[in-house]
Amino acid sequence: MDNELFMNAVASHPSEMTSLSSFTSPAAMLNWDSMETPHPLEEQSIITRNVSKDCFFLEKSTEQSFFGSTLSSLVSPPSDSSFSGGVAGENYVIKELIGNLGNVGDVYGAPANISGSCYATPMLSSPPLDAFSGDSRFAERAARFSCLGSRSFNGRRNGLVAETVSINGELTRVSSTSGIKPPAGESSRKRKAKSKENSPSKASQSPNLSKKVEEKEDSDTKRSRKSEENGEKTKSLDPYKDFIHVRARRGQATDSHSLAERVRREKISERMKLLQDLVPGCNKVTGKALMLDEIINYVQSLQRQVEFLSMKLSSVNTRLDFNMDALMSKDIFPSSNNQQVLQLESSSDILLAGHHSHTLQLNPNDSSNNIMNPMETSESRSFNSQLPTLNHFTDSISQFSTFSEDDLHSIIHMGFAQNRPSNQVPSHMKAEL
Amino acid sequence: MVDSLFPTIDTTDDVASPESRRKRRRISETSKEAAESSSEAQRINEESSKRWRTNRVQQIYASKLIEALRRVRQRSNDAGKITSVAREIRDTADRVLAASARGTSRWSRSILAARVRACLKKHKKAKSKGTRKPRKDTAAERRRVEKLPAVERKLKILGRLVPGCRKVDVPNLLDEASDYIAALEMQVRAMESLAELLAAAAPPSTTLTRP
Repeated sequence: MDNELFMNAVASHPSEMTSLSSFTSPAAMLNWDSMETPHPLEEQSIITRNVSKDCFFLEKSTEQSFFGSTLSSLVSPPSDSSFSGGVAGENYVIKELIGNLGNVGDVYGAPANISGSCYATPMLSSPPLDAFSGDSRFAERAARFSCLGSRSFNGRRNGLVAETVSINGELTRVSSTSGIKPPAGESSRKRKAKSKENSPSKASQSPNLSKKVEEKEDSDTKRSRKSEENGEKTKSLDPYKDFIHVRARRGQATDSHSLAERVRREKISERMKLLQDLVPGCNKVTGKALMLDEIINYVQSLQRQVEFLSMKLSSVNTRLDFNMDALMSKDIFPSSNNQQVLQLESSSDILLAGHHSHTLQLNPNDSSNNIMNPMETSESRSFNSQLPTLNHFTDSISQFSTFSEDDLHSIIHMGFAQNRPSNQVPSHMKAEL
Repeated sequence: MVDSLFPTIDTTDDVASPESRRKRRRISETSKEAAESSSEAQRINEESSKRWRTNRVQQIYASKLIEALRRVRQRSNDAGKITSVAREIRDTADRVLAASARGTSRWSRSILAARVRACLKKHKKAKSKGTRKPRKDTAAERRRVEKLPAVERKLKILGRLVPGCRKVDVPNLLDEASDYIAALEMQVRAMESLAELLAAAAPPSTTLTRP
């Protein structure tokens, strides 16, 4: 295609062209709703005509839309004489081009449906192509321009390259970040600059993707899930993009139905894998049905355990005087820090008037996993004998409360509750709530 | 004494402390992430399982649980049957668990909302709870239900188990289920250790007598 030669004027390498195109792609991704469709085709014809020209012809035409002006600035109408034979002024031309493109970037807002881009390139093809809403003309244009983009450029414009690359670098970053954040769990195959062959087909398919997802409901047994999944797709994206962009893997069906289906399947299988990690004994099980069996059993067993424990707690509650202060002195959960334990110990020394402390001292030292062994030693007996006597200390606690409050406040974080400063304790608890 | 309660009771965890387990999980997660691009679902699970294993959340839960149980004890009459008190305790524990979730998960919101709904209904003297319209037990209905593929049936069952997730779609249901499982594990651990504590501190005549 003659269009390719047009781009010869721009850069030398395809990579650089892609970088340039990526530079333009943010511009392309900008909101070009205002752009009329007819004139790009005209531009295209202009491009073909000026293919032989070896440089950009920047022309600031004000009568057209801004995009049109930019586009035409790239392609000089044959009647343009201001930059004719502009080999001498090519640097200037190039700088103007960059300036123009930068202006384009300023004018247009956030990326949106790309109604047209004269700089449609492989880089551009991935996100914005998928986003526009079924503009067939654009597909055609995109195809042509992606041809443009893919061609290598002569090495004549090294200066241009050097200038543009720096800008492109920033803009590529911008484009990549401003591009769609990949939806959860999609592999890197998506949204990579694919070959241009995909882009036209994608361009035609993906605009209908959202519609087809809904149409798929009829063919799918899980209808409710389909619609929800469609909603799911849309909600995870940036507001200006409505679609999750999927690329067909090599050797797989490119039907939009199957694409969406595959996305959905992968999401589900991911989550099943995570559940597999959570539920013990699921590693050997393969298959969704058996996995789900295991999961259901596990949840039921956990719930039954909770019931059983609540019954146990209720029975214990009725028996005990429920002075949990000393009980809760040690945090229920084992991973408390040593400092806290020591702090607690110090306060408990105060509270228990010292001679109980040795029983509690046992605990920080006991870092082993044998629970009941300390309990079953002689210490436990003393502990148990001392515990009821703790009740008698509740009166004396008030004496200690003055200087033990600081410790208590720190201990409260560990779940230690005091009866005496109880007015403070509930408030603290409520603060947490 | 109490510190070591958890690891042995803990059926799911190995002996390692939560920190090392978290580290291992993080390492495995990062290796997984290297293999595939980091997925949202992974983050969710990492988040959820880590969330329910941190010390902080456990301590918050423990303290709240203690307070709630104390209030329950004060409220319940000792003459009441054990089962009703047990149910109350279980509901309290569930509510505390849901409160610890800070409203980020569907099941937690449903648990808390159920209580509010019950209170409202009590106020309005409306019909009793649980007047969910039962499915007509027609043969045709049953045939239709059983004709569903096995996976779907199980998913429905799972949806019934997780509170508030009856009509949730599959991926979200699985997310909720993983979070719910992590939370339940923590709840079981907390209640077990609490029960042990209380049982150990019970009147010495009944427990731990030495010849």
